[in-house]
Amino acid sequence: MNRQAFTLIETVLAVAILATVLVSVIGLLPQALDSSRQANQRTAVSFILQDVQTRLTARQTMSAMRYDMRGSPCREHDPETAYHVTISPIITLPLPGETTGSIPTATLRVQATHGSWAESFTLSLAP
Amino acid sequence: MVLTMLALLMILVLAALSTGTTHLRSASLQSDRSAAEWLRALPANMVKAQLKRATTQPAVLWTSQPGMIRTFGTDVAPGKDKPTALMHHRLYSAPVMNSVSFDASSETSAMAQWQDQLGLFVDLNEPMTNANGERQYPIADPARLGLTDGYALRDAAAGAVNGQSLPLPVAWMYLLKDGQLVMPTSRDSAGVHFDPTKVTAQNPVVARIAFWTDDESCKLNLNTASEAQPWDMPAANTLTEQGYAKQVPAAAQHHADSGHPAFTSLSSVLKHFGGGKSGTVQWPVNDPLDPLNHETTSWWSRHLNCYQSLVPEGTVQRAGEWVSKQERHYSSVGEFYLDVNRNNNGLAKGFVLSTQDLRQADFLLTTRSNAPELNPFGLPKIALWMMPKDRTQRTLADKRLHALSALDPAHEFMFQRAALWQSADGQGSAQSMSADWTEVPRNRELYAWLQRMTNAPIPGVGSSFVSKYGERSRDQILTSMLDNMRWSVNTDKALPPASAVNHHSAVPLTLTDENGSVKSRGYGRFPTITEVAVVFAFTDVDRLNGAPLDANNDGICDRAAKLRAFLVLNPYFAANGPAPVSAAWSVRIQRGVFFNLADNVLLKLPGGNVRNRCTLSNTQPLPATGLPWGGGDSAYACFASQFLQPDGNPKLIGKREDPARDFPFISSSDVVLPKKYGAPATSIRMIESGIVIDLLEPNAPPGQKKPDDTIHSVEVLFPAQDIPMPKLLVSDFAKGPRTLDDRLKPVVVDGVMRLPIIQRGDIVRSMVLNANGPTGGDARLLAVQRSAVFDDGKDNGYFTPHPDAPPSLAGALAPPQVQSLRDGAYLVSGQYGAPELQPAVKASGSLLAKLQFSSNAPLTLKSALQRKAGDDPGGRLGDWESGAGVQDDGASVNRCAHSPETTLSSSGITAPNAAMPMTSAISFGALPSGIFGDAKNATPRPWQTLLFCPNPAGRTSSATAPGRFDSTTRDHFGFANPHDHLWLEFFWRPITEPSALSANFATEGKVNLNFQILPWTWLRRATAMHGALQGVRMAAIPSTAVDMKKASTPQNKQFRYTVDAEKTLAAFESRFDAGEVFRTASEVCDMFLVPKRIPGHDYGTAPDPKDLDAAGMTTWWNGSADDDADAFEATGDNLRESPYAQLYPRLCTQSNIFRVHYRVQVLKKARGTLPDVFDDTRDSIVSERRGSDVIERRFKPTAPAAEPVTDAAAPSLHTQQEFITISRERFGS
Repeated sequence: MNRQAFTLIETVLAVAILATVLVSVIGLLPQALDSSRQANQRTAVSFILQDVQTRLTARQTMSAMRYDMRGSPCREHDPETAYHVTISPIITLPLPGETTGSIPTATLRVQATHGSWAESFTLSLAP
Repeated sequence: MVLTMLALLMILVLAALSTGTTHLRSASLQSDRSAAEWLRALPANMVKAQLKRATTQPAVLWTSQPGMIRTFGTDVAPGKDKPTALMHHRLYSAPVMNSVSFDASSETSAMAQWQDQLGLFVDLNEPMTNANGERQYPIADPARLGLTDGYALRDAAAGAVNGQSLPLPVAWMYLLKDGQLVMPTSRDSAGVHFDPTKVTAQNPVVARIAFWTDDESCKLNLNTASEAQPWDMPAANTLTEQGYAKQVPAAAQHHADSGHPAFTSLSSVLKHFGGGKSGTVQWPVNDPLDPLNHETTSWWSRHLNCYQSLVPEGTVQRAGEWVSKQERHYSSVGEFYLDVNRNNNGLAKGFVLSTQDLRQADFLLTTRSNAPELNPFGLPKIALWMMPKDRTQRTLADKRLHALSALDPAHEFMFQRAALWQSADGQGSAQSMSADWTEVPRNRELYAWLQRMTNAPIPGVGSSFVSKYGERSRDQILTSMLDNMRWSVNTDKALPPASAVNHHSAVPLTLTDENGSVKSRGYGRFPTITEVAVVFAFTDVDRLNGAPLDANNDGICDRAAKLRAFLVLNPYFAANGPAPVSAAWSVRIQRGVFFNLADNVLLKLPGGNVRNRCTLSNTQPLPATGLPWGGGDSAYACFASQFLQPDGNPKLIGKREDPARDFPFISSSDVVLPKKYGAPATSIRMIESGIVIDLLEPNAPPGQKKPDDTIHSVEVLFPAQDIPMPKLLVSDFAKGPRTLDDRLKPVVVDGVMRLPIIQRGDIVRSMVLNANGPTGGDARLLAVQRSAVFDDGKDNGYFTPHPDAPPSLAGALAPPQVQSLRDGAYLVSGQYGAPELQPAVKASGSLLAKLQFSSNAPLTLKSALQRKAGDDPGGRLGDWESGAGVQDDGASVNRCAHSPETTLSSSGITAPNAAMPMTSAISFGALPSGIFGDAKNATPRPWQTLLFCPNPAGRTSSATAPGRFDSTTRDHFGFANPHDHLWLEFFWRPITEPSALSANFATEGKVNLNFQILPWTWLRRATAMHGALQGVRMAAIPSTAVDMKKASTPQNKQFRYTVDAEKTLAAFESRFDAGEVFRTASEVCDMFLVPKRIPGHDYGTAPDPKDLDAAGMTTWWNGSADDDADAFEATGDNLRESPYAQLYPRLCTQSNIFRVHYRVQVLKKARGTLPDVFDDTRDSIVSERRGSDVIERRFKPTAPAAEPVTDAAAPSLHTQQEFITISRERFGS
């Protein structure tokens, strides 16, 4: 009997520990990747909102835009397209205490091309 | 090995996890900052929305001030005298942004405990400490409070605490995820609560904003203001006035041009820089004691030059010429720290300018301020300039002004001249009564447009000028204004030049209907006749053996035997003053041409078409003393041209062939007196004799009289009266009969050239303008008539026998020479007549019954200012004008000439700067407004001119109440609604030099009268108004000094005052505290300016205003209503209005530039908290941004150029504005 060999129990335990650790560590990996994705997404959305606000302030007429994953504008059918932005017709929202609208406001829906992520934002515009 | 691998794997995974988390945090932070970044646009957008809503409505007047826009319509509620505000639009975050009513005190009290109401209010002025440990304030630095002019706390700042003495709180507004803005509904210990139907978990609060908007026109503009060099029309002969006369500003000295933004003084702020104190170069002290030298080497000069060198367009001297520096404008207040050579801006000028100075002054200074130049209807103002209709004749100045006063190249808002002066054969439209009307369609269009606007109730005022004056008087005022511009602006090429016989003259613009009847008329620079004298010159006596008979040897001839009569007219220019005029005119006598004495003694004058052409040029060199006899700037210019040929030689008496050579208006030959007449102490009866005197254009073609060839006609009826027989000296007739040939030969008496037209032994009877007639003695009311000829032979009462004649016009011992003929060439009394009979003092009477005017400054007319009781109960004093320099006071139409042109005396004429525009329509302040009465009473109102000040001589009501003209108080008709000053709002002066500060019907550098800060009424920032008032000088001449003001030598007396800004502006604040604002800039003319003596000057016995405030001003100016000579009654209407002329053009009540100070915070609700509650202690503020955005209100580039003059439906230009953010500044990191 070779006394230097691992017993089955030892082996099973080691594998179990290894598996547990591996699973838990590997289980963190998607979270890390998700954090990274979210960070990229937030950064991109910031750029997107800034771009849309600039365009709307400049009174460019538009109803939809496309952006890549860095938040840069894309052409139509660009394979790099990562976000679709749809812009609802501009409405005027009232000031507090008012009933008639006076502040032009645009509502944007930013939607990831791949996946189900989508979020709405409102931007106030110069009257 | 496995463990090692596991450890490495774990490290890698954890590193990836950490990196992702860090990345996410970083991205979140960036995202939150970005959210704050795009959120910071929201306050500016809200303000733009407010501005758009408030300032782009048609038919609405709006006013701006820090924190608010108010709008006004035309409906006047019962019991009110003007419309109340339609709406108050707040420009700061508040629970209610727009409201019909507004109570500043309740607004203020609501935020008194702001610091205890976390979540409801926030301090926009919360300071931060920079790296140097210095406190920086985003809006207003309390360190300057009380240390800078006009910047102080009126009351304790609401919620001031240790460490923050100047909190500026406003309400938070909360932003929901869906973009809605909501206000908290309540607050308790749990936080601020919201309407749960609006604020939900799905639509939570995501941010909050707070903002307040400053009005940049309430700050001093570093690019347009400089330091004022006080200057005004000299109005007396004192050292200061002589200094004004000798130091007429050069065209490029804009800091001496009171209508220019450069006249506004930066010293209100800058004098406190670098530890400045009184006596340092940047701290202005009062006017120099010796004004004659102040331009050269004095401290005062260094002080002015210091400021001129600081500002981009300051005036500096280069190669002996005054020029503008024309440097690049500052783009921010901070840039002021360095000059163009990157050196400290103050250092070379004698003081230290620090960055801290500039930070602390940021609330007081600006580099962009701009105000609309639109009238109360939101339509373009008319430029106070006239240019030739022919575009090829326009000068560079014309073209610049055209560019600034047109919506499109074809439609300028400016009157035009039909033709310029070209030559003796091309006299231009100034010498035509109608060409500027009939040949210039644009003038008719603008006139009709002004009629249309003055027919309508004025927004913010509620009444119309036509409802006040009636159509005829309104049209008369408009015509007078147009006429006034014809001969007072841009006259360089339009009026005859100095080389012409009719130098600087113009005939009155006369508007007629289709039948030729005069509808309205101006005054021109053309004479009327205020006195007509007939001189009975006795040419021989009874003789015995050729020697005069003198039976009792008393040296007096026993009897006059022969005589001739000749006519002397006294021309009078209502448009007198600089520039000197030498009008050319012809006289024709019509109708009765006899002076008919008893027993058919006829003294026949030539009638028909015989004319006396009066064309003696002012520049014609004359023998003897060389006096400018052919004209001048006196009201009585051109007297001598009746008797002298164009070359200065005497005219030929009795000849009538050549109008330019002959003096025809003398009886044709000696007439023999019947034997029963002629003895001294007897008389002969003169039968009623009337003549019509026509004044014609000098070269009017001879021939029969034509209906339209007369420029001006007066009819004079000499009533029946006794003509006393003279005491003729034997010595005068010892050599034989006397001829009249020497009477027109100038002689020098005491160094003064005279015409001996009236001599010892003559009997003179004259008719003078009737102070009790329709004109009330106001010659302007005669000058404005084209024909003052009797209707149906009935005496119209314009003339009356000279008041020195005996009351019954009877008696053999009546004064022999009754006349007050005046020659504007010299300003001494007793100008005509035998020396022993010359009138001594008050040769022409007095304007004020109790005032004894100087003998060398006789006033123009007899006492006539007290209106007739039936006309104006109370007998209030009327309006007259102070003469320039030592020129006489009286009834003038252009004595508000505030352009830098003047004269000290007739012998020291300063050439006018003809290219200088009117600074404002206050130049129209001498125009009569009561020629045809008013809308309710067509009775003419003499001595009533347009009113542009609160202190006319006729005001008696308390200074604490507005001037009134109603059933209870009849101060001055100008006070009746709408106040006269609203005329000012239809005109403007575009600023083109040294750069185009005016553009798109707006002007840079104007100062807003509405300096009240809302909602922080405890804070006063009147600094810009202090700067505007700094250079203003008031003239107040006490009645006790009336004998001195026209003294022959300069007096060491002072009639000028500075404006006590603190006391003056205190009255402004009382107005604000009562909930009122200035609706138009012209309303400054309703406010008393409190005078302040200039230290070191001698004011004589004049009352010192040091203990008075605005409430005491009526009494200070006018004394007792029952006494016409107990205060400053010797001050003419133009001097009373002058400070307003110096001030008004630089003021505004609307702004185009606003700075939005904001504070925005991105919020995040804590988990597990109620969605409709925000708690500052539990929920989080994930990012914040503070700063300010500057918004400019300007014409849309694509705005349609509707032509409002011809298109009644054209919209207000206020509706065609856009709002642009022109700069952004961030506060803190």
